[in-house]
Amino acid sequence: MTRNTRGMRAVAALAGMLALAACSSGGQFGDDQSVTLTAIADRLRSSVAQDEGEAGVPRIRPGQRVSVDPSVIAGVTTPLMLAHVVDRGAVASLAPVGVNGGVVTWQSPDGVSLSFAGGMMVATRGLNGDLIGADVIGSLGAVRDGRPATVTRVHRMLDGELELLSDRYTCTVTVDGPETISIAGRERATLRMTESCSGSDSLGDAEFTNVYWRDAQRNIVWQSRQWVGRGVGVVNLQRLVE
Amino acid sequence: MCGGAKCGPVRRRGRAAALAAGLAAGLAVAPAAVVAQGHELRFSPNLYGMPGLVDMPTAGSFRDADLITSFGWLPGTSRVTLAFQITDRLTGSFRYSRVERPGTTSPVLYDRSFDLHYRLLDEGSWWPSLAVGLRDFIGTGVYSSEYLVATRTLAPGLRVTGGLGWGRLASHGGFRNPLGIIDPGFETRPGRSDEGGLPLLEQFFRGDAAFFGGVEWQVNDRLRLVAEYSSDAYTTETAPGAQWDWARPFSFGASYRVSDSTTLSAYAMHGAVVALQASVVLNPRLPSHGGVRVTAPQPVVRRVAEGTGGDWSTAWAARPGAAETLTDALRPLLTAEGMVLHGVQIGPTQAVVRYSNTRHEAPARAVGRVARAMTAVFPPSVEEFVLVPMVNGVAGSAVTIRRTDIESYEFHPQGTEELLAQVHFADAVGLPGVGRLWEPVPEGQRRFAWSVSPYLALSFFDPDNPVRGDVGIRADGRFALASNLVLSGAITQRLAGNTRGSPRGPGTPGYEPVRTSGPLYSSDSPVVDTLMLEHFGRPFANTFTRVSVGHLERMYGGLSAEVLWMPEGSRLALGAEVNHVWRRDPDSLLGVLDYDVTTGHLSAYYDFGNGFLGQVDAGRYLAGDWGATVRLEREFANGWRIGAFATLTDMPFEVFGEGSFDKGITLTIPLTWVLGTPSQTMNTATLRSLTRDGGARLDIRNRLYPAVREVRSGRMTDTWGTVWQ
Repeated sequence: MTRNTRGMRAVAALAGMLALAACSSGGQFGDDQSVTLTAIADRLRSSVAQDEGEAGVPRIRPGQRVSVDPSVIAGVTTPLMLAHVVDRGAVASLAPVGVNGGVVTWQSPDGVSLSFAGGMMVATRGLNGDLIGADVIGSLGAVRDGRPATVTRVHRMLDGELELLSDRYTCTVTVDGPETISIAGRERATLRMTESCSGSDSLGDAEFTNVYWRDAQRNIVWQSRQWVGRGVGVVNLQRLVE
Repeated sequence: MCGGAKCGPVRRRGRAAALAAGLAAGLAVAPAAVVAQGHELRFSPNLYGMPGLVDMPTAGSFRDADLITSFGWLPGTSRVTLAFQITDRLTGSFRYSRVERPGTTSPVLYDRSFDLHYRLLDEGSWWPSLAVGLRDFIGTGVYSSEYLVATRTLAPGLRVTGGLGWGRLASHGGFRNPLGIIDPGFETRPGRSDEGGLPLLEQFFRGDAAFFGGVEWQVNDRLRLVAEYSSDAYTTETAPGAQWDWARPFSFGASYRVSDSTTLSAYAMHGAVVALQASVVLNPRLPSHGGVRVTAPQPVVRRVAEGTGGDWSTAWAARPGAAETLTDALRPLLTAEGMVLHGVQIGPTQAVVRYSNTRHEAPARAVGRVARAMTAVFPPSVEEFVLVPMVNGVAGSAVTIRRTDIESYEFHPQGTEELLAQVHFADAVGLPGVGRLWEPVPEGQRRFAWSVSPYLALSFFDPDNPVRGDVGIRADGRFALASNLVLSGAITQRLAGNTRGSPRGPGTPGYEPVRTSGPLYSSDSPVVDTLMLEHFGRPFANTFTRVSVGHLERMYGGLSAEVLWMPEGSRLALGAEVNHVWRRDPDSLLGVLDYDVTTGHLSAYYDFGNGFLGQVDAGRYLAGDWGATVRLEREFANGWRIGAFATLTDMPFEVFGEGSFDKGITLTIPLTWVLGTPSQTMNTATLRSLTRDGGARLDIRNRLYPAVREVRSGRMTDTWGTVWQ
């Protein structure tokens, strides 16, 4: 259930003069979602964590691969995403909390949100060095259509004086070919695509590579590796439950 | 340790103690983002903390906004310098030195000095860079000198410098001043007054001149070697009885950059002594922690389009209790964002939300978060959102945003700029609920809040002791009769320290010891630091008022009234303040002495743009002297402020005492920068050349201008980059 429908339901409730407060209790999640995510976090911790970090946030060694045991998502029916911030060794489970114009925002219990347009990250919140916004229209089209392309990508980042910078990168999107991957015990037939980018920002030259495993048939990205910016680095993402 | 749910409802400013902690923490977390410059030769601080070699200057500048603290030591001399790259070309510094001068009336001199250094010309295809500087131009004159210097890059990493010095910089190898061609008067350098502290224009570039020069070699990223020919003979420091004898004019040194922020140096000087130096650079322009980490906001809830299932009718507005229901729904969303909802006035198509922000240091981030929360609560027909930030219970500017724009620009690549182009700023007076004499305490807010905390009160640079301080515990209490009518007080218990004692210096002949009596106010018994009632008002458009009654500060109690006129969107603001205060009895909890005085100022505030703020306060000071204070500050959008001030009054310089007039620098460091998470706490330190009785102002908190700015459109647009953060 998304925040959107919750919000609309709240408005509908007002029309009937029902108590509205119960629906907007201040958190980002409904109680059911919050409980699910906390339970998932607990199970993730025992499943992948090497040592415990902050409450509810499993930490793993930098560079270690995260693979989720099917038992972690047993019984979960609401959409669920796994995010692994590689350089920080942090793993979080996220659930959708908002939809706006094709962009879906997913949030973790510890207040980090990631927003995606067609599986491509366009914003982060709650991290040091957030991606405030992004123009990924070219990359998005290429990955959606499964075709190679040379495109421009723009990341909007805040500098130390709260000015919003535009970091421009030139990216080459290539089709690597079909690949069957396993996510939490489920096989997914995907088309793997790679986006290699380079450009320069205020701190110098930057190069990064994003990889997308999109469903072979449908427009859904099951797994990806995406670079956010200099501060956050690479985030590995998996759609655990659709 | 805190009590109550609201631990820090009061913006705390002006604690030197907190600043010291902040600085220490700030140093520990110095920006990780400082870019390695490769083999490019950065200009490094010399033993005076200014761009240079060993003691001699170079014609360079630091990076814009670099704030460099240097600790230099050689036998008999210690120097602590705080240098700031004020603009791309202008460098300024404040220095505190301990100088042993054997054989003089004060064999150990604690000296405060100020420098200015200006890069006139950048290096070009064949010409060198060129700079001019004044060293110790308003101190007692121990380092008093001027110079003109040129620097040229010979090869990557290798630079040569040559210059002409006057004053102390002509104490070795001096020759007749070439400026004597212009006017023979340049050939003699007049002496200085005993009190010091005055820029002696008639001294600049006068007397003998001498050449100096040197070479710098940046061996690699970290190691730098320097050699110089010095025109400084260290005459007073090497008088008979000194620890060392000056042997020759050559000095050599090596600097090693330990980290991006810290450099350690060692010098062999004048064939006689070894000098050591550590310098630490901070740059307010660079983010610490890679940026501020702020918990994700409530996402925008987009309305379902009319005709495709959305109910956009306005029928809801007629139902009884609709406004209350919506207010109750919005309140927890704002509470979760560290904001207090003061009121919602809602109609079929417009909602006015008044709130105060107690968490976000960037006012625009608060705007963005309130606007998003509104989309989650208000019925679809409400298209116009009017956001009214409040401070001290009074409204600032009104920000009008179309809900459609909030929906459209949340993830638009240019969404930040597009939203700003659509937003409308106006004064809030005239809106419903704004300008009330009595602004009720919002539902769910505690009226009473208290806290107990340790405190550290430091004072710097008095003539006998570089640092004086007290430590103790402090209890703060605050009772809100209304949002804009607050009774508050603080009790302190000193536990240890060295500020207590007899009045500082001899006092001021013919004047009340309004500030030199400060040490009397440090007590081993509990002390009522403040106890006052404050009211804040918003009587007319663009106009703000404050009335404070009670014990307004540790040394004075009475009545203070202030009015500020700050037109929406204007660079200029005008203010007036009048106080009638009694000097408090240091030996009684609440009693006063028989010295009372009416003081007050007319103030003009001007925002020059590019972060530069100017302020002039003209009026009567605590000792009854009349005059004016001029203040210039550089402010960064993230809250850092670095500035300088000077006060000239009709108190004669010789009566004022050492330093001749009141002057100093102020440094404000936002806690957000130190912690990397949002906070409104600002730590401000004032480093005065010397605390005397002339030009002294009432140290009253909650003066209007700084607080009101945070709820006006200027600071919102300055921080607009955070609106979607």
